[in-house]
Amino acid sequence: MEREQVLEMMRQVAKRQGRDGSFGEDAVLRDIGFRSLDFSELALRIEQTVGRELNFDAGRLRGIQTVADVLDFFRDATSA
Amino acid sequence: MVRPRDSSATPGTVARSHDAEGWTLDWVMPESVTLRFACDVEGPSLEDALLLPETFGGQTPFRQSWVFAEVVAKLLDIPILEWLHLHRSGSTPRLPGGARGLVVPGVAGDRVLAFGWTPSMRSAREVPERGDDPRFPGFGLGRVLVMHDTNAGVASRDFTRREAL
Repeated sequence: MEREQVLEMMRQVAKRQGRDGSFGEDAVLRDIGFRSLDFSELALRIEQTVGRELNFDAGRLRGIQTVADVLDFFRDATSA
Repeated sequence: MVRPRDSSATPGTVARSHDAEGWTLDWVMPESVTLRFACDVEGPSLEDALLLPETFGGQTPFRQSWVFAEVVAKLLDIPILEWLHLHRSGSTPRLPGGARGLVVPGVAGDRVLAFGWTPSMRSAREVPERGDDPRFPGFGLGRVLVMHDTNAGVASRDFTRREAL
């Protein structure tokens, strides 16, 4: 998936939880309140979109801190 | 202590969690204990999540399942996304042997809290397969007094016996 697609889905998840979805790629997840639950919901939506279950690198998951990290992570996960 | 996010942190906190609505859960121990602690809090807005409740669907209300899964993932030190995959492959959110957990629904504006501790970190491979009895033993670390920091003061109640999973 393209980064812009993932970013739009992130914003949808945030808005669905009643939060501001206008964050940019530099935003830190903790600062915008994007928590593990949101991340999991995003992952499920992406899997639903691409039509398959994704394989994740647990080590890389631990290093995700910013919106850009999320976009890179799912770009790579969906292209694998 | 359940408190607004911007209020003062509670001294003696051994584990902390935030929900999506700006509330913080501080788990405080009155004295030093060498255990691994984890807690989680989720507010009513969690019901707005769409796909996760389907994935974690079951007889237990979703929020209770979710906060418990979060606590188990923290105690096992595995990312929650990896936990989702374990769940879909047949594992169930369950504390490792020797650990204790407690789920407390209906606190501070219908929030759900979960607490867990373990004497040591265990491998995710030790997690039992789905279908095993998901109940866990009592919360053997003394009393859990949940305090709610309100505008009008601090209200408190002992929820130790309210084990929900």
